[in-house]
Amino acid sequence: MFSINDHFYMISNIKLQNRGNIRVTNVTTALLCRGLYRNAATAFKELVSNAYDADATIVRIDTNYPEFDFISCVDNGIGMPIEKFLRFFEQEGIGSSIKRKGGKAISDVSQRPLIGRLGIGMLAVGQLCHSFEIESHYKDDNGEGKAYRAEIILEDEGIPKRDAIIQNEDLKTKEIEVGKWSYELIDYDKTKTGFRIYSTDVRQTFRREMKSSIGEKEFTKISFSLSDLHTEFYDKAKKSIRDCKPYLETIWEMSILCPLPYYGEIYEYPINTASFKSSHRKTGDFSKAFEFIKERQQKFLNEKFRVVFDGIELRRFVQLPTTDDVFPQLFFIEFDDDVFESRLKFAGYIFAQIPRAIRPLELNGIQIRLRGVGIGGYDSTFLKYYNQIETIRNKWVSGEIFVDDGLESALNIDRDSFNEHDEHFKKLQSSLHKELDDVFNQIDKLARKRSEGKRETKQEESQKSMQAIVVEESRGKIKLVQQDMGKDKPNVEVDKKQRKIILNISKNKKIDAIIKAVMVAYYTAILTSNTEEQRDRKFHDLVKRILGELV
Amino acid sequence: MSKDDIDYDKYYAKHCARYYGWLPAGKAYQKGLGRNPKKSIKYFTLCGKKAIDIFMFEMEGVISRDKNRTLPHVIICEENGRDALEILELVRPPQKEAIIIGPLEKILTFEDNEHTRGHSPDDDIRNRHIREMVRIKGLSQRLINFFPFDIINFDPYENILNPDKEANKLLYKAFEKVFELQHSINSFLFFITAPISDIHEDFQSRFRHDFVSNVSTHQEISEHLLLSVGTTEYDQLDENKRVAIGFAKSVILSAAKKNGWNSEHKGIYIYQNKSLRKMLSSVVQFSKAKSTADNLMYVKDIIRVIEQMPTFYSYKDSEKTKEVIDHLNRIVDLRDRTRDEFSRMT
Repeated sequence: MFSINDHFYMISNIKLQNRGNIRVTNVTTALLCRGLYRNAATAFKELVSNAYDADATIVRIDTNYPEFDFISCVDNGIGMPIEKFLRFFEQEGIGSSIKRKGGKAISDVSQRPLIGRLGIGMLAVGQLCHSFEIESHYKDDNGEGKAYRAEIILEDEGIPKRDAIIQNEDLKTKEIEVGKWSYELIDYDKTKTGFRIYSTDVRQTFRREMKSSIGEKEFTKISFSLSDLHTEFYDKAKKSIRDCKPYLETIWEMSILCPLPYYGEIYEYPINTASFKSSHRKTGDFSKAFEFIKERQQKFLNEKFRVVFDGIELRRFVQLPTTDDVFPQLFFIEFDDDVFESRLKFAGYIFAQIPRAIRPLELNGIQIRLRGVGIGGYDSTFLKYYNQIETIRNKWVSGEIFVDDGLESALNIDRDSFNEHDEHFKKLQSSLHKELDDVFNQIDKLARKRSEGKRETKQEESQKSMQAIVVEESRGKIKLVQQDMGKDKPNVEVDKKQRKIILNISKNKKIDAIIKAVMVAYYTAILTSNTEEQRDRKFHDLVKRILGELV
Repeated sequence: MSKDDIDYDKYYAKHCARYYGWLPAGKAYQKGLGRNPKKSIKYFTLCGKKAIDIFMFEMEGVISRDKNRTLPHVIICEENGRDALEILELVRPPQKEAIIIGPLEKILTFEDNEHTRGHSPDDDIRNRHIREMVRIKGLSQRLINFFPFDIINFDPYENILNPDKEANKLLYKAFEKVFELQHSINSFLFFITAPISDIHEDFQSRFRHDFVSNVSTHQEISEHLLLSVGTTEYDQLDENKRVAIGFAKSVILSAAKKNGWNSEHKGIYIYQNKSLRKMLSSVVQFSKAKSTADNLMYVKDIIRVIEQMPTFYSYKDSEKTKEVIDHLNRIVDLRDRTRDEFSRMT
């Protein structure tokens, strides 16, 4: 009988010199190893964050498109020394942060602000595959090149089922084996300096989801050019990035969340300055916000950090306004003070386009960026802003807030959401909401002004066409005039002697335009008809014409 | 010397086989398809992590990119993820078809067993070993569906001439299986490469036995042997000649005949690697056998090998062959430019 342990199907080709079991201290951490992240993009984002913290200038992720049966992530950072690997797997265990030991908050080479916190980022790939290999080529403290290759096997079978955990309290605190690790030392290869993760043991859940989004239509259409993808994402026929299906949605989300420069030229992206009225461009808020965006873009460009996903070099796709025919506004927000005895510093912009909803939907809301990394995507509730729940106007707004100091303690373990009771979070929330009160007030005013202006224009137009119809019907013998006759007078009056129809335009007089139109038609018919039959016919025709123009 | 120690971008002796063997044969095959300009070459390759053959054929117009700049009809099989990720980094933009990542010998010879039967490659399977078997099953189904190919580059890391290792035995089976899977095409081009410095004794005795048998049963063969090399004695033949004839007769023709294919050897190239160990690369065009006349074609092909083959390239001399060095450099340049250009495209 064929044995499944036959070497024919042994997967690892590593000569196992050193090996061990991956142990975690309790079931909660064990469950984390099986999947902690919201989706594939956030799991990939963790790998990118690790590369960023390791001073990489480029990180390449491949999924073996269009089969998605292989995942790799290769960076050219400083690599992970074997001692750290062992500390992680053999000594301190998963969840023990190594990056920030000794209060370090910036990376060694590029002095980047560190993103990582818990040291579980590497296991993010465990959400996408059952087992994986890593390879690290690095210089040790003496500047000598070192390298090793390791295999990590995560075994779901060791993790108790949820029902069992509920029934057996002891399981919660029991040390649990979640897999195996092994490594071998290999020759250092300078060209491979950095860290690489790869796996052919991909979870089918990931593969199926990705494959489902590459149908025949998409397969022939898909282009691996960023500008083509940009067109795809901002296609007016689509409301949401979800319409692009999971594969492109993953690319979108990665590009939004990773610490990357904006796509395109600064005067067009993320804010197209040409779409603003020059009077608005002169306001203090606009200047501050725009200068801030410019400064951020420069900072991202200076970091020279690139992410290439399946051959596509990602950039942050933000283009506001998202449509023409809007009245755009730009606001600036900033805060810098001690909160709960530690510094909280943030700044950002809030953009509004009146009166159209932001498309794609995924850009509506506020994106919080912690040390440049997007947390949880754009929050369309604006961190639970209760004054504009479910109003049309909150769909017009998009913004980004960059937190440069503080807030890290509010970050949940998935690094994709916040603990809403954290003091820094609360402060950020209240500052944002205060700013939003002003923003929405201004939006309200502008929207009202805009709609009043539109109404007046429309009234003028309908007045003109009514007048033309009346003059034509009476062959110039009757005039239609507007006059403020006061609120006690009727809406429409006839001066038979002067052969005038007077529209009362008293400001205190509210009248439906349709009623006004019917009355004008009625009086015109009376003044231009000799018989009752003629009057009825004319009235009927005039109503049709005037209302036709009006509508 | 392991494959990791070889710098393929500077392995000029190997490139001699590509430049003088694979490339002209590929071009001639493509020309033969010229009647239908829409038909593009379908190419299967175990290209290795530097993907030089792919870029060579692209540079020389044997295969071409589509409007999205992907290479359609190019199917790559790579044994392990480690090298696959290097190929993914080089072959830009992403392939129209994903790389098949797994050992070719297991993929092509896969047979359902009690663990895999009833499982689809899309199933969620907890047991790691069964999961791997089912993965191979999926790859097998995928690869088999791509057959037939116009050109096959069978250039594996493993050695089909050394049956001591289980993987090599399977590789030989996989090699034979190719002829079976090509049944729906009339003609194809096959590049087969193997290390020949330590040929296993089983193969050595097979080579000898087949040679003696050929000489005794085919007078034309012994006549041509006498004319070309002045002997019909196996042991008196030059070592390279012995291996070339043995490989052609006992490996290639034997497998081809079994599956109804006629062969036409375009060339046999023996080259040295840096450790001066020898590799053999055969370039053979196969066409469907139709009648009894095919036996004549078989004899004709053996005679062709006796008279014209092999060509030998030493490691040292190849480093002085300017046209080969220039050619390989141009390929490497194209490959690197393509990758960079693609980055700029984005």
